[in-house]
Amino acid sequence: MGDLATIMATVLSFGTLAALVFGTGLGIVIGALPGLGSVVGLSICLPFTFGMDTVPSLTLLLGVYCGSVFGGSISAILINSPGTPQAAATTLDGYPMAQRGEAGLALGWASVSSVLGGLISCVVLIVAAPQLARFATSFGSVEIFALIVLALTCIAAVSRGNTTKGLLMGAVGLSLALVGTDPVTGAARFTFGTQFLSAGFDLIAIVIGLFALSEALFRVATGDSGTAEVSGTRIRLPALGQWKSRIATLLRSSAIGCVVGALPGTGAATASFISYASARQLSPKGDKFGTGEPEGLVAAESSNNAVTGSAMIPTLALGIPGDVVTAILLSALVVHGVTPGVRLMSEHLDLVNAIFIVLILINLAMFVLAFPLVRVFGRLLSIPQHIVTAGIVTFGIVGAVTVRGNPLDVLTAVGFGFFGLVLRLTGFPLAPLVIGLVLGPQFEQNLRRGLLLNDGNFLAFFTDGPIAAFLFLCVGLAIFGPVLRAGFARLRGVFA
Amino acid sequence: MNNQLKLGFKTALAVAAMSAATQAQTLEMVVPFSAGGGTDTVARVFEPPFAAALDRTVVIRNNAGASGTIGAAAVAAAKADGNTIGYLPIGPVAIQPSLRDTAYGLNEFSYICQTTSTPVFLLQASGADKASVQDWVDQGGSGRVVYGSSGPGTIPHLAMAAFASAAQMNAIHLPFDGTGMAMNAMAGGEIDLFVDTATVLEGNDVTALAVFAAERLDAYPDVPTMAEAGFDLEFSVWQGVFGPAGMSEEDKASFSAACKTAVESDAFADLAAKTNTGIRYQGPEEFEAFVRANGQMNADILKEAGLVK
Amino acid sequence: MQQDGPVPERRAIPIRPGEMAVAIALIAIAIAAFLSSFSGAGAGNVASTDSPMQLPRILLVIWIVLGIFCALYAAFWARAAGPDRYFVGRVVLFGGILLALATGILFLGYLVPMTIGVAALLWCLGERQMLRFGLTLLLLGPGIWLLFHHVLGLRLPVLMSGGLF
Repeated sequence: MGDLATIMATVLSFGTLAALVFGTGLGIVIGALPGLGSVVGLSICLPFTFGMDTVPSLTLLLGVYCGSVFGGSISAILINSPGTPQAAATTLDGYPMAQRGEAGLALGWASVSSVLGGLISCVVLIVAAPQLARFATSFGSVEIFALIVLALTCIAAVSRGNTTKGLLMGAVGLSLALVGTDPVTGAARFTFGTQFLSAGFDLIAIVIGLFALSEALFRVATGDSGTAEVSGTRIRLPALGQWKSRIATLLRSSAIGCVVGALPGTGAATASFISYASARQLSPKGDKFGTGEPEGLVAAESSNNAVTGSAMIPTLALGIPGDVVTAILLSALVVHGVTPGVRLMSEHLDLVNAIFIVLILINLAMFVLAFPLVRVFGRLLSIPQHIVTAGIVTFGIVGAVTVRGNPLDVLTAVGFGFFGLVLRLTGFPLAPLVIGLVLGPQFEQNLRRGLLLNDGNFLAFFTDGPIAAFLFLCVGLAIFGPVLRAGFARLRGVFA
Repeated sequence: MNNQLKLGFKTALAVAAMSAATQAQTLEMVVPFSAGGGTDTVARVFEPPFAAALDRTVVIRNNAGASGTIGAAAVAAAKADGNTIGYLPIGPVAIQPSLRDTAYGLNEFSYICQTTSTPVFLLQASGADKASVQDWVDQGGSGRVVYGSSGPGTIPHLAMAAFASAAQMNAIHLPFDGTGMAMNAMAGGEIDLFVDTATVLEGNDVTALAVFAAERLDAYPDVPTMAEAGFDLEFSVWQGVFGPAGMSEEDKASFSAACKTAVESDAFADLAAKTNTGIRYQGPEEFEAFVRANGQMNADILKEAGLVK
Repeated sequence: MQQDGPVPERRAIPIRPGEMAVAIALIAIAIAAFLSSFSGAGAGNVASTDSPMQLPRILLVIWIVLGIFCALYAAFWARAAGPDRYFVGRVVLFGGILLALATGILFLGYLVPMTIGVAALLWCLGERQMLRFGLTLLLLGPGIWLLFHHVLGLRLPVLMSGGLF
């Protein structure tokens, strides 16, 4: 680190700092607008980066990415529609808190957890990127399948009240994810001969429909403004004493985010669902989850922001993009003449170090920018509620139409808006549906790759290796844990 | 209130009618993959010199989905008024139509120009204990070989399928969601072989066993061709500019002239060098003949490998 | 399911008709999808060892079984939900506008249907103040379009190819 000074000089240049503040702010705004997410934000910025220097352009893209993951929580908390799929788990406790009139506090929990989760993952990235990247490659199809199954167990955790309904919604979500071209053989499934369905449903279009548009419809149906009590909100930071009992959840969730983020094909939504479920299972406050328990927010927000740093691990250490976002970042590197790959860290160490510093600064900037931006959103929500509703619809439609440039996605979003309204009115939970949708493609692909490798023998999955065995054990504990615990308690009662 | 609505509607109609008069003549170039993908990156470098040569505003529209067939279908279905073209790679044009029901075929396009052609390599993990193509053929004969691809019906899949059937190997195909995940699986030892371009070879911890080209490449003189290993197989990934069928000859001529300028521009050469992409310009007639031959060849391979009926 | 509140005198069956209807509709969709999975998987291709429809069928069976449980629960075991009042007419109108808007974008590009649609939505939502109506419409209709389509360069559907909008 002898040339730390030169690195700092590139990072602290005007261009980079401007890109940092602008990118992060833009990311938060884009994330917070229902319908627009990380990918749209990056697509907006990508063309502009072609004319910029390497470090500022990467800073801009990273800022938009990290900001949008946090920004999604703002609308999740204030208007019950996650701005991005990554924030779907944030609605579960964030919106009930807002309904109780604690929107400012909920945003405080969310922003502090986001920033801490992000910073923890930066540290992990800086200290252990090569090791973690190697560890990530030891996750084969069977291991990732086990991880996805573990994430699916959180369906039970998020369907409060009626588990059967939640499981049904999970099955619906998983099935919807399978519509389209079969990823293994290329055969068409449930496409009814249409070109559009052969591409499958777009996750973002469905999330826009289920959350944003159905929220708008629900407001119209009930005549309920939904946000009346949160207008003019500003962030209120939780007291330090409040953190004491929740620090374990923060650390565990960040760790989950770091590991999941380093794996290919998973991502922030998966991480937040896994850590939400595990926090519910392990925390003493677990049974209050879903009613506006800050710990649920901590679990969701620290883990999805921890993914932002650790997603860079395979990208920087191996040149392997784990998702669309990192693929866009890599393409920006290519355009600037930097070949990403295994030699990136040795050949362009100064650039990698600059990225490290930039990531830390982005997380700090996010914390600072959160305050004014949340105030702006609070102001925006204090305009007449029906205009807010019209705004939700507009951004939802823009988001649906830009996500893959297909206007039919708007029709999908509207269709799922109606479906979401019906589900809300009849008390079916929406979160399990999204969990199924998010995890469905990876669930299927890894399952079937595992089967191909093991000659169709599913039982061989359990003897595949120590990581898979450990993950399946976790799955077993997640499913049977509550039963076992009750059994132990009874046994203790007998012997006492 | 009714009056207000009527007024609004009338205004809207009037404005809509006016738009015909105020044609901005923006040229939309459809890229059938999302922003930041390999095709998109090349298209975005191709666009500025192309637009300059045409002296028109060219905007890129990313229309992603279903291995690029959604975007390709949008090009084929567009009005042939010279305002919509597509920057399409081999997959959606010359492979997917024989693999699945696409709304278009090779007759639904106007062929403007080819821009790139990049041969692909047979890759193995750096740490693998095999040294030549023959070692893997032996392994495939006695045991099994697992190869990855970036999805069913992609060139990595096709080339390996053709190789496996030519060498009569017992090969298992594991499709992945893109090259990145396949490379992760290769680093973890889940797959043995992969086929992709020099970009992938350079960027990952892999070594090339052979190149699917007629002759050894200047940049990689040590990498033998597949023919040297006893398998006469040639595969390359290419990209080109297409329009909907029925485009006027003037449009086609002016686009292909601009395309030639863009392909020969410094910016394009620069990117090609950075990404190890092979530049190759072909005019409308040669390009059309090339695409048709290529499509037929791929259809035959798919049939032979038992991937389509 | 235990009954917490006072037991009502006469329990109507189904207890939650809406919920039961949704469950039954979901079961019907799953059955239809299950049946369609046998009638040719489109222009599929021969998979060597692995059937593309296997997993979807397993999931659909799980879906149907869970759906039946939900329907029975809503019919017999649930606790009656409190009566809810909904603005049915308004939500149907709102939904109709949304549907028309989405269909319009398919054929007429983004700007025209969106501007008309936002106007209709605002009117449906009860906005009658001319100035506020106009400003909101200008911002959410052409304003957003201008921002995305021209300033940010994210192409929205156009009315005619090469046209300004």
